[in-house]
Amino acid sequence: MQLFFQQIFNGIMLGSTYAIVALGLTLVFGILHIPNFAHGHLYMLGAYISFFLMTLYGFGFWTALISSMVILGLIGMLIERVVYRPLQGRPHINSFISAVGALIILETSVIVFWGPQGRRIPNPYPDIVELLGITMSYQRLLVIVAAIVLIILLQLFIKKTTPGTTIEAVAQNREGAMLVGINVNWVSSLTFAISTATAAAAASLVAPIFMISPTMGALLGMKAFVIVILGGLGSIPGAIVGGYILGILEAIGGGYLSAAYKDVYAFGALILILSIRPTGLFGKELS
Amino acid sequence: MRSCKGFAGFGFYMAVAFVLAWAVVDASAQGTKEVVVGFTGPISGVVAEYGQDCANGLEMAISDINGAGGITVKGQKYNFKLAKLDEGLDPTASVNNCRRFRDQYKTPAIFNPLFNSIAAISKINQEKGNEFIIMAYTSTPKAIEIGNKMLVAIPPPFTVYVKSFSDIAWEKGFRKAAMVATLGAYGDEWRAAFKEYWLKKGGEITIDKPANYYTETDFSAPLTAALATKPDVMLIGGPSATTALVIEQARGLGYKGGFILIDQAKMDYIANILKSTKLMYNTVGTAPVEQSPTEAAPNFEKRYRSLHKRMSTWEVWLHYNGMSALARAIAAAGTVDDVYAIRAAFPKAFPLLGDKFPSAPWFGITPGGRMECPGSIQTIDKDGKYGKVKLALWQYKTEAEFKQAVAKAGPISADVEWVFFKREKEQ
Repeated sequence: MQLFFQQIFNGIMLGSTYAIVALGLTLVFGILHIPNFAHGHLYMLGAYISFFLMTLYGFGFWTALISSMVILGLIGMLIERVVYRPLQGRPHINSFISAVGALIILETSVIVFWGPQGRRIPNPYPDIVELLGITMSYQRLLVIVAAIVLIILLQLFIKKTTPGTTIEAVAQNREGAMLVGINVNWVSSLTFAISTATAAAAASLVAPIFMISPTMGALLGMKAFVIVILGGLGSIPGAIVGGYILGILEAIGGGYLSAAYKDVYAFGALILILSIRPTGLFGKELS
Repeated sequence: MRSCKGFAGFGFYMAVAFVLAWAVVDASAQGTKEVVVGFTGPISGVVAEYGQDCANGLEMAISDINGAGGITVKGQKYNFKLAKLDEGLDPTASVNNCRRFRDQYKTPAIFNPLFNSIAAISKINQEKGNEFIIMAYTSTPKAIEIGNKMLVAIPPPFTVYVKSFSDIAWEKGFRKAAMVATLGAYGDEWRAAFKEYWLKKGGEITIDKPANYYTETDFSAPLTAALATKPDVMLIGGPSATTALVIEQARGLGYKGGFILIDQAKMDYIANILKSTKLMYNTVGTAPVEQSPTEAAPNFEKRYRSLHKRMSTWEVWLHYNGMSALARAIAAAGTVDDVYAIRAAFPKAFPLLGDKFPSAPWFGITPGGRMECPGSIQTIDKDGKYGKVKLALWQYKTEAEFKQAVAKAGPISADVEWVFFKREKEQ
């Protein structure tokens, strides 16, 4: 039983990052209808920015994390403006191809400028604590708690503030939002900024546990897409629940069956759920 | 206007042609020709670092050889040049790259550091009239078992490590071993070889939970499962960076036992990521390059770091030696394009001793085509401190031959222990 709970803990930790990354993706995907395949790579860039702020400029962990969120937010706005906005109203395939272009540029630039080798952000909380037979490190606990805080803050922002509600308005009805005087372009920028800033937060939080490398975002980006579709396109609760489900699924599958098929669980679950519920777990029925 | 422009264009091309012609004349006046050597490997993607280290080692060797005046073949001076192409992790790309090298440069030899690709290109390197030598950077015995006559393998066979690591772990009193090593052809072979040897010694394998060290960074699931079987020692390893994470995560889950690192994972690299050897207590693996006991080693490492701004690895060092051996073989063969003669001249390229070469002495090449690079073994004790480097010679059948070789090892600056492993078959 202890083993089981340990695996669940492992899974929740993993799921926390998945949930945050998927959350950012679902905002952009569900609201702006942009399949931002470069999302995983922006996550990678967020980790690198934190890394450089900490190692080169001596930032503390938290200041680096916040700065990285701000910088990535700006980069997100820039990408929206340069890569996606010119393609508005064009077929999806156009923005899809732009996204692939953006991700290749991001990954190769990082390799060219900073080298292919993995790097390590020093772990700010390396100590271990044992609770009810489950061994956990403070940094892992921190990821779990921070993910919950971030999710709640984001939810409050969207539901309780004016800029947040404009995002929701655009999501519900783009033309309607324009009619009541909402600047849709501005909302697009804002959504992108939030999306990339949360990716930076997730990356900076887990970077001390794992490591950062130019390719760290590729598979995660794919998985985030799986989660978004699994949870239902554009559904925020769907992304959160989907993230945790996937994390736990991978931990249980990896622990009890075989880690060799870790990615099979994620993509297998996707196919299974879509065949039962084509709109995803929390997706609305298409009219 | 149009014709005038055309004339100006013509004049321009004439000028270019003139400059080119002059450049060619100039080059032959200097009298140095060029031999192009190919490298196809993963220079981008998840294992980009590995591929780049290999290429960097080749480039360093080439700049040293050219700097010393190149080689002379039948009175003609030659310099070397490296042509690099990226193959990611795709053997098909590797085959295409080799064909390109041959078409463009008539490369006599091509380096490759991935067994899957080596297996693929060893199907095309003996085509009549288009032969080339594969310089194979792979420790799996299968590379030699293929029986390709135009293949030269660079690193020692990993079976040396399987045996020596297991013996050391056994002496420490470890009996119950769990396996959480990497997936992939190489990892599979390692796990199978280790399992066989460990069981033969009378040990127990408690669990086999391989994980993908190339794409994963979270190993808590397989580790939790492995630790539940209460092992004394764990066989782990794949690329060094993720192996470091496995060690950290295992200790983070409360594991206090030992580690056996498969030879792809490098101790110094891991210690660098973990900032010290503190978590690596009770570990046996390949010795850090920095601890290489030769005179040339410290300076080599210093040069590499100032050139590439990162620590060097065995990939760099062994490719440096591999390229140097190739250059010597070409010089000894007296031809830059008869690849059969070059392949046959390889035994004349040795020994590569520690006065000029950073790695421990290489005495020769086996009849099957593997260069005789000693295995370097190191342990980290229960307090996290390095022990004495062991150099394993695996190419001799008798202890007398082994002792003779050790006597000819040349200048060795540090205190090392030579270990004898009887050669059983070509590997």
